[in-house]
Amino acid sequence: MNHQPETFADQVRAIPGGEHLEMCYSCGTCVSKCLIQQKVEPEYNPRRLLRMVMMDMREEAFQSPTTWLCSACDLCYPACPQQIHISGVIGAIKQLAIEAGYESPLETVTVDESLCSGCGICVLACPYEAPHLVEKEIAGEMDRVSEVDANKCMGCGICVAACPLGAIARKGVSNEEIVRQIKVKRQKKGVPRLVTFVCDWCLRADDDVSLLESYPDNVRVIHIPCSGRIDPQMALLALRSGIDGVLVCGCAPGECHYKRGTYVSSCKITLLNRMFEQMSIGDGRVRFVQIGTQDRGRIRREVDAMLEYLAAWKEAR
Amino acid sequence: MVDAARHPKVDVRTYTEVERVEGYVGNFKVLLREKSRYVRTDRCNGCGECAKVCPIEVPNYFELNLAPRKAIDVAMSQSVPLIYNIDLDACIHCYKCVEACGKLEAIDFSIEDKLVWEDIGAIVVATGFSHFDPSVMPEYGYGRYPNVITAMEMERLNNSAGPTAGNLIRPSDGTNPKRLAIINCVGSRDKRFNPWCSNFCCMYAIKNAILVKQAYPDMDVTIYYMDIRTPSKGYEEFYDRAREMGIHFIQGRPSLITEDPETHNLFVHSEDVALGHVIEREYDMVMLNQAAVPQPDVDTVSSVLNITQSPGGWFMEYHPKLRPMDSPTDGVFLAGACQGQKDIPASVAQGSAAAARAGRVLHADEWEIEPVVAVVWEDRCVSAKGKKCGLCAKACPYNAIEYEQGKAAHVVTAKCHGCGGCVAECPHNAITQMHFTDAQILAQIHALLAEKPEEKILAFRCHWCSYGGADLAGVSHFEYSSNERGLRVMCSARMDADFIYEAFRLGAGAVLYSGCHPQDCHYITGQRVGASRAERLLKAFEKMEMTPGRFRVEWISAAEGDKYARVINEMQAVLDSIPKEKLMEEIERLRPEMERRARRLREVPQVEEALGYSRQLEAAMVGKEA
Amino acid sequence: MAGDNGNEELRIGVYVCHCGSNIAGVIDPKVVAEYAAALPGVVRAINTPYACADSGQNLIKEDIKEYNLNRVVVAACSVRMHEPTFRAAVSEAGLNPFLMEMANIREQCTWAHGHDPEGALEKAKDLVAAAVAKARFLVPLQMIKVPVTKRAMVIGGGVAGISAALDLGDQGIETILVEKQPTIGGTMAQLNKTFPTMDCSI
Repeated sequence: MNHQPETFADQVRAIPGGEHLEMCYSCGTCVSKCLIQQKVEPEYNPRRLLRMVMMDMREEAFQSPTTWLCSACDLCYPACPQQIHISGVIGAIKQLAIEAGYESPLETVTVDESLCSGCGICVLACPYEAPHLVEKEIAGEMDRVSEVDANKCMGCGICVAACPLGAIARKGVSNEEIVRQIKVKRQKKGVPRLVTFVCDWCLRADDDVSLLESYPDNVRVIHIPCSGRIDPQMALLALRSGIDGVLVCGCAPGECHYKRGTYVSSCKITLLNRMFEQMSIGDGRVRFVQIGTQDRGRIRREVDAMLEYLAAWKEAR
Repeated sequence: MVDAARHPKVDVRTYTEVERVEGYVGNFKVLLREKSRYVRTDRCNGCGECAKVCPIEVPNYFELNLAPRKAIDVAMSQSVPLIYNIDLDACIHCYKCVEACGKLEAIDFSIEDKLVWEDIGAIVVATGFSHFDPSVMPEYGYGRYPNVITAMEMERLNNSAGPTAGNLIRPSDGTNPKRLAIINCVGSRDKRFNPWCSNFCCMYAIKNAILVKQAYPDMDVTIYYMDIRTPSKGYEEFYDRAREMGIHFIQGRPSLITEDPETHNLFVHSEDVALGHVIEREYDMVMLNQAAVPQPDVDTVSSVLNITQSPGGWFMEYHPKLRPMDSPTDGVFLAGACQGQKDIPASVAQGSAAAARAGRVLHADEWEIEPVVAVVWEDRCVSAKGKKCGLCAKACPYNAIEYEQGKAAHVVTAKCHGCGGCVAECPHNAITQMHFTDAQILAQIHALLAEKPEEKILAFRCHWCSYGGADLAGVSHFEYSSNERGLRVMCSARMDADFIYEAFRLGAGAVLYSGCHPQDCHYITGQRVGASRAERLLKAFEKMEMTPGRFRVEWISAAEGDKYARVINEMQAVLDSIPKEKLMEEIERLRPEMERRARRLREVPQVEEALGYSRQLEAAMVGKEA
Repeated sequence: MAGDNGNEELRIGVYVCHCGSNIAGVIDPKVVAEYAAALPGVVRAINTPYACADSGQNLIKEDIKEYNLNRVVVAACSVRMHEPTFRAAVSEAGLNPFLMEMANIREQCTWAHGHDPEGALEKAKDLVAAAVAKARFLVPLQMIKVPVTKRAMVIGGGVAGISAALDLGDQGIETILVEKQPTIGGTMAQLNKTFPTMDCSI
């Protein structure tokens, strides 16, 4: 019982979460349940990563994008017929990779220390325990600021939206970069103008993804990594600039690619709408929809419904 | 089917259920309920005029509810026997059928269920299997997407005798599908539902693919699979034939089906494992190849027939290799899929084999049964002295004990199955069980606890379940503490409280009291007798402030080897958690009480002798050690 | 009838099986046999490679005659496995089959304690001692003979049940085939053709 872990598989199994990987019979359920291969990285394949571990292919496993891209959303876990906690196994491999000196290749968030007040909201917001507060000398003074562990950050941007001072940014989806996209050309009379924020992970079907490209210019589609990236101020900004409505699309409850982004955004939009109601300006022009894995074609219906609603709203005004 | 109905020696009783089984090998009494059809079986000629005029339509179970049937109907045109049947829940009593039947006068609403006792020498159980309901797997959308169907629905839809006369159509719009996906292992090899491989579905998928392809050569037919298993004669060749016909095989278990809400076309999302790529393919129809599962009423059947269950609910055979056709009950045999998922050739072979096994009994003039029966010492029985008692008769699951105040209790040997419940229940130690006497068991207890008893876990196990569970733990190499010392009796009912007291008097570290789960008990209600005694013991030890866990009661089936190992290891952990001095102190503190409680044991004939012998034995055992 | 087995001298033979390496791979059966030899009433104790094989059975049978054994203890596998085998063996040598007792040192000892050979050895000794202790109090018993009703019942009218009923009928045995549905045929009757020969299911 006291033998030392010898093989790579033994080492992975010895880390809590890394158990049962030998049970995998390579059925591919996890691969197709996950959207990473389709959307981000053709080489992504948890099943093959498990094989690499079983075959003692240590370096290959550490270099595999699968090790680093899994966001532990656990869509695959309840689907696995062998009940292998795949994200746990991948997490164990990642831990060993980090111990071996490998670093995450992901685009992660950065903190502007001159703006950070050390409030710690990002620490609470992050689903991955990536940020933590540190005492640090900044501009000659000791200060408490947030520091992000780049190996833990999955780049979802939930903290970016949460930061009250705008001190956190992620390349490609910083506040400025998103705000810049919130603009819709003036339309003919009666044609509603709509901004749609679409989470990268809530659309599975190829048809639905290509649909987004086909909208005329009164519908502006803005891609975001997670609906949790949305700051309610962006909706306010859009309305203020004369845009008629804002639609935010995220994953169904329990299916968020970043664990709790969809929950965070549903809270935020609900709160925003409550605020509108209290100020008696609630008119349903900011909506949040949660699209499930089986909701093929739903995005079209939601956008159509929103446009119809906005057209009627305009008419009434 | 027709052969069975025509056979002069075979009496086919349809629409009949087994209510009760009593007796023993060679001498069973079976109570049958012949349910009323409200149609006289001696008059109905199967002409079907009644169904033509019946105005009521109900879903047809035989067609998996894909088609209606009348409130008076037959399952199918080839029904055996071809006798109509009224579904009284649906019938509106318009009596049009009576009119249509006319002079035959076969319809009679006054017919009631009939209860019949039959004398039977041997029983073959062939209750078959059922199908997994895939609606519990939301990822495949069965029940929500009209064009996702089960394999059994495919059997009817693509069957010339079925509801569409063999025209394979999509339930959503009645058109012929052009692209068909078949998904294997739906509910099989899936730890969330059934861990087993359902045995025949690979072949079944291939068969349906070939049949569809033959009928519609242009159809794109794809089978999604994890592994294709074709391990019998001619099966692999059949698989080759399917490939040659152009049936498409994709290795990859689909994780999801999505539906186009307008066309009701289906998109199957899977990995193509050979390519390592995720694929999303569009189909007009998807067939789910459901797992084979035990019949839903398996618990009722197993308790009526006294058959134990393997994991998952299949009936358990006496031995998987040496006696696969025998149930653990002598004279009851198993055939077909009730014993485990299997295909038609295997089921037919098992039917013949079970008939041969049953024939051994039925062709014998007499049959031998084990003499492990109970015997009364008449001079010790208080009833003989005029006192009121009868506890033995109350404990007996078989009414094998004749009790009358003023006479010694009497065991009817032929009725006694040898559970030993009466022996342990008798407060005056006036009954013994052959081959499991108090003296024999006591001698074993003493030998097992001869040395360092405080380190030992004495485990009482019933023969049928927990002894089998301990065997399975070994067969599976589930390791557990070697401080366990097992002792076998036939049933937990035999585990006399005196044995437990004696074990603790001797200083046993821990004692396990284990038997069958109540529904598995080999002696009908023997386990209940054992269980209520165990409850009393638990309470008594709690009152004595014994450390919890030193006496443990667990019901462990012959299929639960892992549980047996786990329980023993947990008991070892309890022992490890008590400091040695504290344990010894507790043993000494409780010893006088245990001695007081076990005192009557010494009155049992031969027990003093057993104790004497045990002293010699212990001396020899310890001597050898030194 | 219970109890009294006379005051005959106790002559117990103990046979410790190796079961190839199944038992001998974890413990030394010879040590167990030597241990058993010193127990009261044991006049013969020996280890044997396969007690259930002809050679092992013959050893027991010959010993019963040579040593005039009146009890036999076989330390080997589960009673669910080979109790009938050894009962038959002692019976052939003229001993009542119920004077044989088994100690399960395979399934419930060496197979379960492969990690702990010392503990397994101690346990095997105790199990053998317990079997010897029980053997001391065994009494000869006769099988109970019961009459046989020459009628069979087959429960379930699917393909297996029909096959069983027809075979029983062909053996000349009156058979009742019970089916809870209104027709026999079971699942098979619902099937389209059957693999691999594609014949009709009915």
